Parts: sequence; C-alpha cells; structure tokens
Amino acid sequence: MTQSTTPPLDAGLVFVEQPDRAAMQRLVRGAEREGETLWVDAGGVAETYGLLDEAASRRDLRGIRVARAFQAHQHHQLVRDLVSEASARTALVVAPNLAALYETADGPAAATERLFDGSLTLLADLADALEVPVLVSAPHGTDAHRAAIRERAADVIECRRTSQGYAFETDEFDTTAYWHRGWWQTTIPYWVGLYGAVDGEPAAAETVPATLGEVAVE
Amino acid sequence: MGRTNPTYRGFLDGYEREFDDYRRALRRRHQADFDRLFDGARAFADAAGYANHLDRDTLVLLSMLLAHEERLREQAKELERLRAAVEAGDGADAATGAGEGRVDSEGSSVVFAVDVTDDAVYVWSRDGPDAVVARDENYTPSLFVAADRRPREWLRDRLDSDPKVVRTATVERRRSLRADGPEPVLRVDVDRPSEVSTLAREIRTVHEPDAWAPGRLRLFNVDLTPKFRYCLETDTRPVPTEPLRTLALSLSERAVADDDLTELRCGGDPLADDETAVLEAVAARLRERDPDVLVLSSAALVPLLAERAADRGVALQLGRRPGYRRLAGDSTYESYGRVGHSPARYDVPGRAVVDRSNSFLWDEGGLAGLLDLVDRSWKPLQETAWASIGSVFTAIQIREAFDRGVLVPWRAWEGEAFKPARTLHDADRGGFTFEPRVGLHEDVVEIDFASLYPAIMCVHNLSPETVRCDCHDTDDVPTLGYSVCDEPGFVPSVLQPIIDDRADLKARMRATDDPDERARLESRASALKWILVTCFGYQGFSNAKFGRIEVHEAINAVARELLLDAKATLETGGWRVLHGIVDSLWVTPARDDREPLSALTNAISRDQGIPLEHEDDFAWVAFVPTADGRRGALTKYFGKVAGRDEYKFRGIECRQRSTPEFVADAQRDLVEALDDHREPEPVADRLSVQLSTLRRGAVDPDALVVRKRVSKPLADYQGRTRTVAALERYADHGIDRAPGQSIRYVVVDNDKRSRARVRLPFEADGYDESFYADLLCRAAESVLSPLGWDRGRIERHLRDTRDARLSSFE
Repeated sequence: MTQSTTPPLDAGLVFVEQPDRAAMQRLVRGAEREGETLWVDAGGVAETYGLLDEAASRRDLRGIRVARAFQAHQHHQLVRDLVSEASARTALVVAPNLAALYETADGPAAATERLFDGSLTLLADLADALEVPVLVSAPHGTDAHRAAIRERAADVIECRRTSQGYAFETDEFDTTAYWHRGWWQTTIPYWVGLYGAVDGEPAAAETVPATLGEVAVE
Repeated sequence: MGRTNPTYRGFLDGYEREFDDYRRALRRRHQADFDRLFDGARAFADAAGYANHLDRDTLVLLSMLLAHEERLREQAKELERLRAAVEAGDGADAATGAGEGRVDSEGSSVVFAVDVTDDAVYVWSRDGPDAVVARDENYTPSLFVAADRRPREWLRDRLDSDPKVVRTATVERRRSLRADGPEPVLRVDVDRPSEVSTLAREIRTVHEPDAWAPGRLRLFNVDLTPKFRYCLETDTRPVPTEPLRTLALSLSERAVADDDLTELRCGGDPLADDETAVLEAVAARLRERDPDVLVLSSAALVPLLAERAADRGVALQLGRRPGYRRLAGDSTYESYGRVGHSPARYDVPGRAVVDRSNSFLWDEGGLAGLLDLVDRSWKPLQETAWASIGSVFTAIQIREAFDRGVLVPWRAWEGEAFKPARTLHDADRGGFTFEPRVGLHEDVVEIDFASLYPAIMCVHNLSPETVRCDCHDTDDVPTLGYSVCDEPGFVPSVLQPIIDDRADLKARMRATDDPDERARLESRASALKWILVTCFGYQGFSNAKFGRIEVHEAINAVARELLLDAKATLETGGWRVLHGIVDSLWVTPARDDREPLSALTNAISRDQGIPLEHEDDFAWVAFVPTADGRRGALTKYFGKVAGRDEYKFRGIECRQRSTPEFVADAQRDLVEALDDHREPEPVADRLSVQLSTLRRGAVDPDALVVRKRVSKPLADYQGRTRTVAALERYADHGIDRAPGQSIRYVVVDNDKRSRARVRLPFEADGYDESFYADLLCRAAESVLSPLGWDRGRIERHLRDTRDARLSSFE
C-alpha cells in the first residue's frame, strides 16, 4: 500500500487548521523526514506518549528535539532560538498552539501582540530561509490570530476527526484511507482515485466512509 | 573717588543674570543644580575679590570647581565612616543612616514598618518603648534595562527627557543566574515609586516599538512590592529587635457586610453594645497599647472603622498619624490552577497591618514565624503577612540575587534548551510511587525522607544555573544525563540555611521545658516548613523569577532513584514496602531474621546524604482502594498510632474541608469501631445507628454545614448547583462572595433546583436526610472498602440487619 494517510509537506509556513494534539503528532510522525525536527512546544502537544504511537518504539523519537515554553516571553525567545538551533540538517519545524501563550499572557495586550507578530514573522522567514516546512497551529486561538497565520501561510492543511481516524485535506491531498493497526480502512474516493469512477463524476468527495471495503494487508 | 571696576560679587550677580534664559529652560531639578553652582562661585568670593584677576570668568569657574572639591572631600569622609561602620558589623544601619533625619545610624536596626509614598518614605522604628519615624525624601527606586549598546544608549537618550525619570546611569550587573559575568546595563532612577510600572510599560509599548524588535530591551527589577524594594535598594533591614506590641481586632464577615460594629472584639473581648461606645473603646485601646502591629480579622475593618468614626464624631486614629491609604483594589487571581481572592489592602501610618483573612503565614507561623521570614527576605512585616509562601520564597531569592549583583527579570524569558524528545520522555515524569496494597495491615512503620526535595537540591547542587551548565559535559542526573556544575548553586545557598535552621529549631524545641518558648520555636519551624514544601514546585512554575523546568526534572529524577534504592535496601533487610509516595515509605516486617529498621534507615541516610527519619509506628494502617475498587488510592489511608490512643487520617472524608462536622465525626467513630473489632460487620452496625439518628431529624443543622470554595463569579456558573443556590442566598443578604472565598450552607432539599435547595447556616432549621445519609454512607465506604466491602455490600448488611430487627419484633 503506497497510499499515505498524511499529506506531503512542502517547504514554507504550513497552517494546520484545528487539529487536536494527536492530529498534530500524526502529521509529524507521517512526515517523511531526512533530518531533524525542531519543535517549539506550547500547551503540552509534544507529549511523548502521543508521539510514540502504541506500535512504535523509543527510537521513533529520534531526530526530534523539543523545547517547551510555558508563557509568552519564553515562547518568543524559543522561536528566536530556533534561528541558531536550525542547521542544514533541519528538515521540519513544528510550533503548535502558536497563539495560546500570547493570549493568556500578563501585561498590556499591545506588548504581547508584538511578541506574537514577531514570532509569526520569524517562523515564516525561517521557513523561507531553510526551505523546510514549518507546521503551525492555533486550535483554540482567536479569529484574529488564526486569520493572521492563515494570511502568512504558504499552505493550509485542514484537519478533521472522522469515525475512522484523522482526515487531512489540502489543495492537492485528501485522506482516502485510514490506517488501523494491521489493516487499512479505505473510502470510495480512494477506489475512485485508483480505478476511476464508473460514470463520469465520482461520488461526492466524502471522506467519511459510507459503504466501505476493508483491505487486509500482510 | 569711587571704584570704577565692579566688585567680584557685583560682577557675579550680573554674570549669573546673563544665564537667566538658560536657567529657565532647565528642568526644575537641574535649576536647583544650577543654583548650587553659583552658590559655589559665591562661597569663595573673598578669595576671588582679593585675587583681582583680569579674567573674572575663570575665577567664577575656579570657585565652582573648588566648591565641588570641597563636597567630594566631605563625601569621601562620609564614605570612610560608613565603610568603617560596615566593617564593624552593623552595615545595614550605617548605610541607611546616609539620608538626612534618619534614625539609628549608630544603633541596631529596629525598623518595623515602611510607608512608601510618592513624596517621601517614612521609616518607622522603635526606640525603646517609643515609635520614631524618619522621613526619606531622596529615595528614588531603580529599574534596569539590559540591551546591546546601541538600543541601550538610544533608550537612555529618550528617557532623559521623561519627567518620570530622575537620572540614568550605565552600570554593571548580571542579567541572569546563568550569565557568565556582569555586563553593562542601564539603570533608570524613577522619581515616584508609583511610576515604576508605568515607566516599564511605556518602555515596552511606546519606546521599544519605535525602533526595535520585541524583546531587544529587557526589563529588570520592575515588579517588586514598594516596601520590599525600598528595603533592598537602601539596605534597610526591616527586622525589629524589640518585641513588637500587637493589637487584635476582629469582626465576623457577616457583621462586616452589615456594617455592624457592635460585635467587634479587641484581643478577643467584646467592647460595648452601641457603635459610638465601641469606637471610643477602640480609640482608647489604641492609645493605651500604642501597638506596632494591627492584627485584623479583615483589612476591610480599616475603612469601616475610619468611616464610622468620622460619622459618629469619634476621634479614632488607626495609625500613628492621621489617615489611611488603600493600596490595591480587590482582585481575583489564579495560582496553580486554584482560584484565589485578594481583597483590598490598606496602609495605616506607622503600623504594620496583618489581614488575618488573607494571611496563610499568620495562621501557620504567627508573629514569630513571620518575623523569621522577614529576616530572611527583608520583605517588611506587612508585606510578608500578606504574601503567599511562593512570593516569600521568591523574595528570599531576590534578596540573594541583589547580593550577587543579579537582576530580577520582569518577565520570564528564559525557556528550556532544546532537548531530544527521548530525553523529554524520560524527564517529563513526576515522583515515584509504590501503589499502596489495599487492606488493613498490622504493625506498620512510616519512614520519611526529611525535606526531601530541598535536601536533594542542596546535596546534588541543583539550581537554574548549575543544571545543564555550559561548562561541564558530565552525566550527573540519573537517567537524564544532565550535567550539574560544581560551583555552589544559587538555590542551595538559599535553601541550606533554611534546612539547617529548621533542624536547629526542632532540636531546641525538644530541649526546652518552657511551653511559651516551645510554641515560639514551633511557629518559626512551621513557617520554614512551608517554604521548604513550596520551593520544589516553584522550580517548575512558569512565572517563577528564578525557576527552570530542567531543575524540576532533575529533582524528580534523583528522587525516583532514591526511593527505588531505599526500597531495595529495605527489602534486602527483611522488610516489605506496603506503600511509597514522594518522600514517605510504609513498611512492615517480612521476615523474622530481618535487620533492625533503624540500622537500615541509618545506612540509607548515609548513602544518600539525606536523613531518612522514623515518622510513626502504627498498630495498623488501612489503605483505601480507588473508586473502581481495582487499585490502591494514593494518599488515602487511615490508621492507629501504636501505643497511643491516636489516629491518623489522610485523604478520606473526615480530612476534607467540605465534609460536614457530623459526617466527619461519624467517620472517625466508625474507624474506632474498626479498631475495636477489626471486622466489617460491627462497623456497619455502628453506621446503622448513626443513620437512624440522622433520619430521626435529631442532628443539629450546625453540624451539617457544608463548606465550599467559590471558583468563579455567580454569573459564570452554568448549572443549578448547590453552590449557585448558596451564592444566591448570600447575595440576598447583601454578602458578596468572590472567587477564592468560602461559602457555607446546609442542604435542606437536594431535589430542588432553586435557592430553596440550601440554607445558609444562620437560616437553617432542618435538613435533607437522604442527602446526608448518602454522604454518611460514602464516608462509611471509605472505612470499610479496605476490608473488601463496597457500597452494595454495606447496603445489603443494613437491609438484612433491619429485617432481622424487624423480625425480632414479630
């Protein structure tokens, strides 16, 4: 089975819309990385039990380096630190819950907004300079912050939870098959993609399975 | 013949007038400086006149310089005097003697209160029985800005025209504990103490955005409380050596809400029946006792007494001078996920105010405990009384930082360093726990590591600047591989004296026969205990001034290994570990040929460098299962102390603050029944008796009061809970309950959804039997579940015995 459950990640600032913690972890695990992942964490997304799914081993954490921020100023400093931490080996940068700490910060809003804008700009610039994907999310962020990120982003991945697992959607990618331990759950669009529709237009691009075939692997 | 040439004095007056425009354009404080220059020129007019020099301008300048020389010489002399005084050992006082009109420049420090206002600071001290005040008009608080040279000098230029700023200077300080050494930073002296935070905010939101990226200018020494700041900056030790006189005034919350002063008590005694007489009595007590400390049941008494006295025309003055000041509005804050309420604070001139409703430390340590902490932190009495333990610990650290020339960050910018996710996986764990073995165990010993976490920090030198230091590449923290620097750490240098002093206080407590002395020592030991308990959590607290998550992780990693090592030693020595959590182990003999426990604990103490102490011998201990009954619940147990008629309860209902007194008493009664019989049936029989008392309506509603803490404002509650019903009733009585405060109610009809569901204690004349029967059964289940009886089994027994009783009447 060559079908991937997560979209390929292109260089640039990538806004992952409304993932929960596990969806962000899934995207990072699914990314094909030749090199290092740098992760600036907020709100405990880098929880290692989630990064290691049940079948995986500690080795799967190899190549991921994490620094956690617990408040806005630390977060902004860590985003700056990224510039010196990053190297030619860096293949992916992740900054989940980008707005969260700025939204709960003490002090005048004008000051924390500057910090947030600064962090967002730095991440976008870093993506261009390193030519790597920089994944950011703001699942509980204000509309204004999410709009600001969306405006900066080169790409947006929409993320949904379905009864069969996570579905990711970009301009060029739809999740059409869901990996379960030991077997794949496919969807009609998956088979349509493989063999074409019988009658012109495919059925509605439903990613939630309707009547589904199960394909056992191995 | 008159003189054709004007005299030097005449020339000087004209010369000065030439600069009138120049002087006018100066700011006022510089005008004063300007005037002093010409005072200097005049001071040597005799010599200048005599010299009869052609170049009179030079004479003027030379005279000004000479005046400067004179002042420098005087200052050098004063400096020498101060240095000698410092070396003679009374440094703090000598230094504070620098200002005019200050007391105690020679004697020992007896300062007990500091009133900081924008015009002047009033420093109150005791001179024998009398209180004396010194006025300091020259005090200007300082904040610091660290940045590269260009932004720093740019800011300096901008601030020079800010009227809030008295002066700026470039000085050398360390920016953080981890800094390699001091570096140039900008010191900004602020005219008025109240303007420090305004200025800091302006630097961040007005100045910096004009030219620099956010965070290029880092601010330090911004959010220090005013009295504390004054003491640190002027080296004023606010520790009275004379015993302080206190006066206690208390009034119930309800009476405060009703503005009813007739219930007011002074030192525990009621005063009078009508308001005017009460106010006069308070005024008389204040005059007679002339207290240094006002211990108030609530700070709200300050405005209430002042207003009522004004209305009634009674000459009542709470302070040593007229008036009072409100320091901060009431506010709600969240700390460690718990909502707290901080009510308004008040200053009265010349007296420290202790607000008992808002002083955890007063309750725990009393005046002796507070003064001990004042001595360590230099946070004056009133601010220490009001402070949380966390902020007292921070204050102690800040004082140490001042001594080391380290600045106090305004915002915590330092995050953790990037680390491999695998290290994070190993590090991001708490302490180690051996799950308790559910059941009733006989012959159990509890052993505890004394002050485990602070001791670990000291023994292993764990501190924000030592853990993962840049200078070592060693593997010093088990399982995490973090290096730890050998240089004496900051946190250990703060904690070690506290650990040592507490051990010393406990030793003196054991040695003394004098009960008063023992109580005083115990108060101080207790205040220190709370600092030690808090210091660990503070390392991982996101807003901690000197915290660092890696220190938190390292402490946990060491503690886990330590507990595992101890367990292995105990098991090899013939003991079984029934339960272990954080710093405590419960053990019971496993073999007859076991080694004496004291030999094992001594060996462990020696190995770890941390004393493992014998805490308690239990005749028996019962560990309670979790709600699903599948595992042992952590910190939920009860037991009987061996050889004494004393029980220990942890985590069960009778220890929870919300549990009504009747239920708590009943539960303790059931535990005693368990001790008598060690079988479940007699305990259930006892419960049956308690239930019938309850159902007969024979319990006083006062014993059924439920206490809860309000977590949010009434309007934010969604459901129709009992808390909402109670809050509505409080509101009906005009009593405002803010988040963080307690409410008390009796449940009268739990099926209702309106405010009729509960009554406030003073309204209650009955109760909801089935609601309380349910609470009682739950409390009984905690007692019986270690023996394998769940709620269903208890109810079956109650039914069977009732049926049996009924049948016996047939």
